[in-house]
Amino acid sequence: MTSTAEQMHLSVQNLNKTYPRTEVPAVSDINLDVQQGDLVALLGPSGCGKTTTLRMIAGLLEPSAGSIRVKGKEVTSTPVHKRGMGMVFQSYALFPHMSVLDNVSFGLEMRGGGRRGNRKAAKAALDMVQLGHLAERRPAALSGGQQQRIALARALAIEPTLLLLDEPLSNLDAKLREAMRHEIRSIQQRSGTTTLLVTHDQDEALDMADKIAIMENGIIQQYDAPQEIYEHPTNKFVANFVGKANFIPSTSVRQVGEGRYSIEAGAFGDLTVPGVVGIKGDRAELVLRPHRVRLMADGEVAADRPRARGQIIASSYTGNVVSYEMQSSDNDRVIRIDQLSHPADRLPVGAEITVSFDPEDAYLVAEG
Amino acid sequence: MRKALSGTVITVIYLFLLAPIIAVFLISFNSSSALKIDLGSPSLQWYQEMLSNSAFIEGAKVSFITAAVVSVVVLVLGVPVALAIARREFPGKNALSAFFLSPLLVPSVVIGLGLLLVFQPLALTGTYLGIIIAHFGITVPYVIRTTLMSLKTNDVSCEEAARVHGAGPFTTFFRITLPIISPGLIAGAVMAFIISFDEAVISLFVAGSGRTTLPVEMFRYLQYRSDPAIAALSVILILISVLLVVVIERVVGLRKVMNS
Amino acid sequence: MVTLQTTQLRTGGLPVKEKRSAKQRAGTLGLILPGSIGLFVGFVLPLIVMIRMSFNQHGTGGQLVETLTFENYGRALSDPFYWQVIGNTLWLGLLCGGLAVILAYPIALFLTRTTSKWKGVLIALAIAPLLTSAVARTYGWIAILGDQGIINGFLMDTGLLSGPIRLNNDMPGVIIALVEILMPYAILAMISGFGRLNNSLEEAAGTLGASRFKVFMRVTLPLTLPGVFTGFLLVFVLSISSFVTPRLMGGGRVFILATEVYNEATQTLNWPLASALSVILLILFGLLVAGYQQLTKRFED
Ligand SMILES: Nc1ncnc2c1ncn2[C@@H]1O[C@H](COP(=O)(O)OP(=O)(O)O)[C@@H](O)[C@H]1O
Ligand SMILES: [Mg+2]
Repeated sequence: MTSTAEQMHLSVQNLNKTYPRTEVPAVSDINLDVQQGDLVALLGPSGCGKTTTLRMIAGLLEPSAGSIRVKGKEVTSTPVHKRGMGMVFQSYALFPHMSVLDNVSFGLEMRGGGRRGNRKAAKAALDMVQLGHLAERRPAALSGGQQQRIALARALAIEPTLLLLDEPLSNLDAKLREAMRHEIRSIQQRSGTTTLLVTHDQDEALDMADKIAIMENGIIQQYDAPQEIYEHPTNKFVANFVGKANFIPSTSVRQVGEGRYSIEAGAFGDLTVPGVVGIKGDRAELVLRPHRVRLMADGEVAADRPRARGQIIASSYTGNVVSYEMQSSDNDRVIRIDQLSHPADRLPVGAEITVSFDPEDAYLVAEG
Repeated sequence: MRKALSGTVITVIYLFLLAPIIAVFLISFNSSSALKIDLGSPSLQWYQEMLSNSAFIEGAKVSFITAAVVSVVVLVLGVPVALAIARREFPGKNALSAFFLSPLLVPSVVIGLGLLLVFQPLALTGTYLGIIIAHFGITVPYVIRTTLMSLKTNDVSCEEAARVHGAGPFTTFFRITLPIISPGLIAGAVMAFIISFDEAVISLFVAGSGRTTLPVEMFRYLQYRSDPAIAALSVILILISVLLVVVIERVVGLRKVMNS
Repeated sequence: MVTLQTTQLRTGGLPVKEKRSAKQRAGTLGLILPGSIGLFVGFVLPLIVMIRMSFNQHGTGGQLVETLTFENYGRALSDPFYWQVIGNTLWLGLLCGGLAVILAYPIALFLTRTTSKWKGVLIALAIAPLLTSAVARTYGWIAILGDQGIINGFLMDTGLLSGPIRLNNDMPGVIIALVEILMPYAILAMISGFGRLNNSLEEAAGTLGASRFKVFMRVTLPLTLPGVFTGFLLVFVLSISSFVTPRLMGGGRVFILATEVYNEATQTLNWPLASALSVILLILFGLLVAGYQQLTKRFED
């Protein structure tokens, strides 16, 4: 335990925070190990404790309990200005009374060093975000996207031991947000800065992060690589929060191997599926991603595939994807099916269809 | 018709509101000592008269020095309190901010009498120190209010960003917080200056037979005489106020200060 | 062995944190202490000394006798003159509050609604009197209302009057001047209280067929009433504690608590009685503010 903590760039152990005059802890027992050079996303709905966690790591907030180590060194009681971290705030928090260059060189200046050297380094950081030409402007005169990059340059200029980003893209419009994702990611990788990104946007997390910690109600629900989170969610909350999911109530659950279960999945009948290790009881829910559900052509037979019949009750069109909602014929369950769209294939509401899926694409989780 | 009526009502009320100022202005150019408006031959004799009244000159000096010192002292002592209220967590915070606004809820005569009772045995009546202490209580609420307003409208995250990027508490205050809230501070200091400069009641109690401020000299003068010399003086005072109001307006905007 | 372990523990996590928050607490104290001491000396201490003084005795020879007696309160509250003074004080407050609100309301409404490019100037004109000395403005009213003042002078010059009518040196003059002097406070309170009012609401009511009068009674007035309450309270409170104007314009015929406190304190030099009157004024003040707040709260619910 201790030895891994020492190898880790950032190691957070049993971190807790209960705000004064509140009953419920804002975060409880956060454990998080981050490897050198990784970008880790804290992902969860608003109010789940992401900012609280980030602020404790930055030193802006005192934990109620727990410890924070950076490169094996305990920093829990190090004052915020001695932690050597860089941070980008949701509101950017640029200093309104300073020029862009002074903003970026602020952290360097605090560390001492010659004025000329600092300005040169600040200029380099500005060039990295491609805003060298705005050095003498005031922040208020710049667009949101530019301010965002300057905030990033300010945080990176000091070559921080850890870069903390609190919803850095949430104030940008959709197009710019996507471009900035890739820009931040590429700068982060080039500079090799270990980074913690707080976001409530699952696309952002999946796109940018090496690992994602899913949070709910102050607790980390799952901490894994993006693909693991998506394919093998440890519980119903994670499956529901990341990506879209059908939950098929399953009965007669019986373990038939390490993480394998035999179940009866409603209209789809008896199946053997992979799932979370250690599901107790004989009821569970089968996670089935809408785009893994296949519409079967008339008369098509797929011998060993589970199938169900039903009627399309709604459809929605978003350009590249058509989503159908199917009411299965035996019960009231609605199943969502996503198909890559093609004008020739569009089915009308009311059409009778048969759907199937590969049991290996589904994943069993405990009842939520 | 209706519009004309409401226009007239508004104009009449405005006239009422500005009547004494207009009257003072016109009378100050009188050529006689009568109070009626007499613009047959406007003269500056009352301005000369006022300038040769040594009590007024002395009072103006005392008022000016007091108001200047008070606005600095009240900033130096008041801003840290506002900072603690806006940026720190501590028990009794609401009580503290109520405490610092409470002088506004006590009639001036009551404060004045209390100060007289404290100052008399200590021989502080009619001294600079006495007047400055007396004016501290009635000006500090304004400074606290304008500072709090500035601190609240400005995002804390600028200060946090400075801290994260390596600035200690003092550096953060002087390099970030202070420059950002300085318009509010200037407004607060100007308000404190005006209030101290115009204050008459409390100063009257603590004046004793020693030094006293210009409003008190004017008050005493008016108890026995009411010639246009006071009008001339009032015009000067009004012009100074207007000048200061323009300063506030330029720096922060009048409505913002008044609404806080 | 055991002690060694505990000392080792002490250098670990929690105590460091305690040290840090102790330092923070000391910092907070450092911020609030100097200002608090200043306010204590300049405000709290005088009030305490004054309250204590109100239980002392004014000796027959004018000397101060340190005791603990309710004599001063007894004297103040058994003398019909002082009841008259209290009555005058309240009457002055009510009248000034009412008149100021009536006059300030149209101005505040106008300033809230106007889209004129002169709006800023008009607002400044309405509230700038606040920032000019009350003594100067009282003088202005003396000049207007006095026996030889502008109005009487005009009336006598034109032969409409043979002798001056008494506008000054009595209650009416004091009220006129106080209303004018305190009106800007009411205007300010109303402007900030009228935030909820916007033209579209009134227009909506108008398009729904309500008459102008109905729109005013059903939409405008209820929305502006909180601002009116605040404005009234402010003027009321400021006029019952006013001193300069009643003293200079009252001509010795207007007796209110503030002027009596001043007389006892500086002319009669009866400090205990002056203190007792101050305490009465303070209590009156507190009761009225508290009662009024209760009232408006109930009204707003
Ligand atoms: N200063 C505070 N005082 C009390 N409660 C707070 C404070 N800041 C946040 N909280 C509460 O803590 C929880 C987590 O907040 P936060 O960390 O800001 O969530 P997130 O960043 O995930 O949206 C929320 O329930 C929030 O209401
Ligand atoms: Mg947050």
